Amino acid sequence: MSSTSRIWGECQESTDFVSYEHKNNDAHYFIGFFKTLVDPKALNDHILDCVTKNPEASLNDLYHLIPLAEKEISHESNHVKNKLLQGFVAIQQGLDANVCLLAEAALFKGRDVSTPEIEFTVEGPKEAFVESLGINLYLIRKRIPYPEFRVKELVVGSISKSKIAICYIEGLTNEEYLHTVRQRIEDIQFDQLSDITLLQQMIEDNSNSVFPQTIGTERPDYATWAISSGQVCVLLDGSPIALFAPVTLGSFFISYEDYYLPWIVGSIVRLTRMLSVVFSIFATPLYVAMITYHGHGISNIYLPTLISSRISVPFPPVVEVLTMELVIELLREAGARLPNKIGQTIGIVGGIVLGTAAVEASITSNFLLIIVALSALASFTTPIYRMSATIRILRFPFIISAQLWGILGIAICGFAVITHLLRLTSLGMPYLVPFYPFRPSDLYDSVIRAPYTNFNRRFSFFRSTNPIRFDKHKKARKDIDE
Amino acid sequence: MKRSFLIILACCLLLTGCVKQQILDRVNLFIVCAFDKAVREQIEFTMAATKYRSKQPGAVSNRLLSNVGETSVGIKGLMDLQLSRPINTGKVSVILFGKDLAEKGISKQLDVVSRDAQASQVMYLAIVNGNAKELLHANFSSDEEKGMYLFNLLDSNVKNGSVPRQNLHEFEYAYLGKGLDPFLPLLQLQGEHVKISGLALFKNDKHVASLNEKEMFIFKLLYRNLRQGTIEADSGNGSRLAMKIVRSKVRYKVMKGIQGPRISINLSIKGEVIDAMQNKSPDQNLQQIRRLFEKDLTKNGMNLIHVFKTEKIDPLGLGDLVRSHTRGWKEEEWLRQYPQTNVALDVNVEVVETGIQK
Amino acid sequence: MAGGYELRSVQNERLTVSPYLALVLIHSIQFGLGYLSMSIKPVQFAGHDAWISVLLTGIGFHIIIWMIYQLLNRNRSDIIEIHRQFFGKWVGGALNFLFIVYFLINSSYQLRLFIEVIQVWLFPELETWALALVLLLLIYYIVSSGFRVILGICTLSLAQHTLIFSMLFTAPFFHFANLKPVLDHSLNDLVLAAKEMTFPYMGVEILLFCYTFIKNPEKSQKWAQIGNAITMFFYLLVIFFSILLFKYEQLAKEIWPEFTKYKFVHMPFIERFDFIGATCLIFGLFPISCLFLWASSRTMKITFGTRQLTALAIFILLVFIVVCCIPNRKTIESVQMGLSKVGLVIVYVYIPCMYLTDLVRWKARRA
Repeated sequence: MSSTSRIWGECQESTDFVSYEHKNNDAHYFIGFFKTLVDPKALNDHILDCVTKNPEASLNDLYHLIPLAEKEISHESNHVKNKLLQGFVAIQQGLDANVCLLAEAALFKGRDVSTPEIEFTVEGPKEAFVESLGINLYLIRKRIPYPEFRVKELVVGSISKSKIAICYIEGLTNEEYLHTVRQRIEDIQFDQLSDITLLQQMIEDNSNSVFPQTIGTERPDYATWAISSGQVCVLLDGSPIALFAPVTLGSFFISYEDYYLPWIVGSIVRLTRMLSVVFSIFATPLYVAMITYHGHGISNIYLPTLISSRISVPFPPVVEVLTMELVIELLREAGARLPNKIGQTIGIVGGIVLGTAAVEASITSNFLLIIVALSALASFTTPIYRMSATIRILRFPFIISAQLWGILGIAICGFAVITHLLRLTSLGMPYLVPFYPFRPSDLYDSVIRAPYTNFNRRFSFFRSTNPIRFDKHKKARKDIDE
Repeated sequence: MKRSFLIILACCLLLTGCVKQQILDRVNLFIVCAFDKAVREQIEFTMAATKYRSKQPGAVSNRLLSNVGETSVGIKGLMDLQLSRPINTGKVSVILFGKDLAEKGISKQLDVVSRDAQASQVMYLAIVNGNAKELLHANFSSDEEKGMYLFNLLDSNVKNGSVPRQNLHEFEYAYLGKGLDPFLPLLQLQGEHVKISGLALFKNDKHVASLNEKEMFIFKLLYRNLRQGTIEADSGNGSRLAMKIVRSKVRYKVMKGIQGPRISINLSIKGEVIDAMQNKSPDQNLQQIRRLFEKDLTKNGMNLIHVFKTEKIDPLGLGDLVRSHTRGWKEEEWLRQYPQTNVALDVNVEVVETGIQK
Repeated sequence: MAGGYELRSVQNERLTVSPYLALVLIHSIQFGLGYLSMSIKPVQFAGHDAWISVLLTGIGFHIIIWMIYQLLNRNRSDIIEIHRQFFGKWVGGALNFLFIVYFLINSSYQLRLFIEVIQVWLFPELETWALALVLLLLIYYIVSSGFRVILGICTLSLAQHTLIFSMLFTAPFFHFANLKPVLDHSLNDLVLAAKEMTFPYMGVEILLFCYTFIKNPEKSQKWAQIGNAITMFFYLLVIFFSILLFKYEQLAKEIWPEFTKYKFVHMPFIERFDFIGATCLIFGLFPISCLFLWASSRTMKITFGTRQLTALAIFILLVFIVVCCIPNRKTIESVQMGLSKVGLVIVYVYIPCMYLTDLVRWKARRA
């Protein structure tokens, strides 16, 4: 146990460390803290005020007098150092003493809770997670006032010392999943865990896959829904996203708004979204395959339109398609890297001017322009950003295989992707459930969203320890005018 | 696992050159083509290649190309020498045959077509009364591509008009099948117009007889149930009556006779009389009009069947009908019986409406 | 079975599949590529009565499946084990080896047939080895993922039945008179046609090998029988389709009469589905090749103690070589003839014999 004076010296290497001697009759206090981490109001009102008003008090007395909840007396210098870095104020009696009073006066500065930006919905609550773990936990806890709701904190990252909170409901979430998540987080060897997306990539079953195996959401309502269905939720201090797992492929195409709309409307919207994903992946590869190899399969009526729009294009279809896909990716990337308003302008300029000019200059056929624009649009309907990025990437192997062997190439590529999906698991749960392995009882919230009366059982594939959500009452059959 | 996926992709890339591309705008497509008889055993093949103009989907024209040779595949090779782009046979929708060739037999040409993996099974075939090449060279469609024009002409007349349907599949069915013979629509060039002038009847794959427009429609009535068309009949006092068919049903019955089977055909027609009212005499009522039509149809129908019997052809498929009612049916036996087979036609006309006036 | 016997070779529950998947298993392994040309030979013998022999063979296969389940349920094990038990290490091992050879040749045949269809209908210039290489790599990827993934692929292969809708386009050309007169052929003709129908129904022998991979295998018999019934239903559809659409003489000319239906399709945007139909055969190919390669590599592992992945790699290489050695239609047909004879032996001689032997052993042990 080294003298705490060494800490003083070490910390003073940073200019934002403040330490001064507080002389009070015979009591000698050394007070030290990082001024950038400490809330001056708390420091003045509670700590300094207390210290000046009680000149005779010993450290132990002060411990009882300081009106703050988080305080402790520590002998360990390393502990003191860590606490100082978390916004604690250290008070020491005499420079050589090896006992230290630590009182928390951490400064909370961050965004206020604002509206969700990535997963915006028209209906439903407009709160989104922010960068503070405390606020995020508050947002969840206020939605789950349930005694069995548990939060377990872990610290990961040799430099960042990131606080990670694992949230679940005791007696509902399967212990196995909880254990796996915990184990994987504890096994992480990393220094600077700056965002939860890093964590996401580290704890997934197959980190080489393009398909995400956990969902990150910025909506507290979605996260709490996941927790109450038996999934494990992970939060990271400094990240406005909550992760949850295990997930299925289908859940990536669920927008939380589906739950707020009437079930028929919600189901149709969801179906549209899933079809648009299929369209987005296969539209351009099919164009390449049809034009390059299977022209005889196009109806006679469309031939003139199709051929006359392409006849002056000097490139083979695959080059044409790749160019256009690249242009769309460029527009998207440029739009994403620029401030909102300029981004919109770029989108309009790019879309209209470039598109028209490209057709005029015979770089592309206007038929393809429509397909590419539509499939780009369709790929953005996927609510989870990581999945929509995957879908955009997935197109390219399909385009290349379509160029090689036409529709046969697409089929072979499709089989490779599907085999990959079949192999994939999320926390050991098959990724394609409830379609394979087929679970008919879990289809109520997959391609369609059934009415809430059908939600009485939790998904069997989450293997929840309490599978019943609520008791289903049988309604008496009504007759006319009763 | 990821690795093997990459290997697959890499292999695909390596094998790029392995299949022949047929980029749609870099091949010569054609929708209509024609076969004619040339000197000796040779045939003349005419192809109407489509020509597209950039960004003008409406402006499609044809480039006509003819060559003479022994086989159609050989001729295609000759044509490739004259064209800047390879020929793609995938879009053929109409094939025309000159009358001279049809009289010699068209099975050889059809065999080539039906062996082609890309060829449609429902393409239309037609016989040209005269030279098919000349017909294709005529300027009969000013604003439409010739192939599409001919396809639509045949298609709309089959669906809504008086032409009985016969496409490549049905022709082969009738040609190869026992107990029935094929037929094809007959096209004729009239000045600058193409018209369907009747039906060409076949014995095996050889054109042997023709029907005119009116006979063609009666044939269609006997061949299939209909929901459209018009029939005419003599009123007895010199004027003609016309009736619009609402629906017609034809029923075949086979009965065992002493020598061979007896066939009775029951044709019942429901129709609207429209073009008979203004000149009807007071004593003529709907009953009589009905009888006039029945008499006229029976007479014409029996005439038709008589023609078939004397020509020893069977486009109605009576042989196939008898086969489906006889155990151990033999084709040779049937062919012997056919000219003497007793075929009875019973027509039933019912006037359901008279237009929107009494 | 009574007596509380445990499965002799128990699989980890993580590896097993639900009993209902026996339906998928049986149906997808039967309904491969064979249906394309299935109708030609029975029609040669039984003409328009061929559908009766489809029914006859189907019912025959119901009985065979029942026999297989009786045999396996009594022994609570798969056939690899039973062979060794009944015939000792050497003869049993030899029998296992014969099955390996049969499976390998069968999957080579299926693969070559698929490549042939692609070469005729899509890309005449495509090299056999190129497509075989890519497909086999994919098959390796699938098989190496394990039995559950293979059955996932089998489940996916049910999607090929959506193409049935293309039959609607041929419906206007159906000649229902072609079915009459019913029973115009002698029983002898029907049996001959039924014999020809055996090959398309083949594949049920896979049950002997993956029995232990089914959870509660005794309960799966119902599903296996339903699977066979579904196959029978689709084969009836196919045979009716062929009889209604074609004349007997026309059928004799065709190689893949089922395929011709795609040439009738005429939709507003797309017409002719031949390229889609040819590609969709891949749905029929993968289940068969993957299951056969899986079964043969597993038999190899149990009988000779090699690593299954190694055995699989070697077998894939062997299949690749065999596929490249089959040059044309004639050879493919002769391979099919051979396989169909072997199939007849397996179904009508081998399985009943095993069943009877087992029955005798069982009775003897009880007495």
